Amino acid sequence: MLRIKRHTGERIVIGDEVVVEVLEVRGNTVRLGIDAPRSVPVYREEIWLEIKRENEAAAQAAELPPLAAELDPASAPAPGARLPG
Amino acid sequence: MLATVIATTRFGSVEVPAGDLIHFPEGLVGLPGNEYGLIGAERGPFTWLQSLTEPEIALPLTDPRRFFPNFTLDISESEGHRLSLEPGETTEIFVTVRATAVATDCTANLRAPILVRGPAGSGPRSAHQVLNQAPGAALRVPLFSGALI
Repeated sequence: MLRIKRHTGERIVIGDEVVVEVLEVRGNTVRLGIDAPRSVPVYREEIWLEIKRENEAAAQAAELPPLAAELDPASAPAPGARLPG
Repeated sequence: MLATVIATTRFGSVEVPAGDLIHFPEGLVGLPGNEYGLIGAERGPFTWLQSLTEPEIALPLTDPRRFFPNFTLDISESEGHRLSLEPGETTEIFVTVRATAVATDCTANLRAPILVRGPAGSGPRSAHQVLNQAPGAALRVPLFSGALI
């Protein structure tokens, strides 16, 4: 991992379009400002990991269990969700 | 309407009408590819978001308001700005479902809904997985908890 020492108000440029600025340092908390293009979503790592884990788990479903009509809050045209019929 | 035929491990070869093609400019966190299709929307509460390029990748989706009448989507100002969302823009909202063998154990991810832009069937449409800031919008909410989100 690249290690860089920066002072408050100094920046790091990643590629041509991502700029990270150290806005404030207080105790063990660092406030960062991030400028990135619209196509680059920026996440806190723990949230990114949560979404990743949930997406991967959702993608592992072999099939959906049959959904009894009484469980479906809406009046579904079909009781199950197996595809294609 | 032109349809795209895609290979899937779950459903065999499936025709996806152009109106059901979905483009994720930023992709989906942790999953490969940007091109997906909606399968089975007309068949009940669940729709599959099937990768066009990876036959084994498909996620069950549902309309959160079907199971959570008080569901709200609250997107941060910075994310709304990043996506250039217009007030009143027509979108469809889905949440991913973590399926289990028993229907009553299934959970929905209300924390990271999928926002599909444009009216249904008007595709190819673009979509984004967004972060829901609404209180109570958790990662794994039981589908049949009747939770009032």
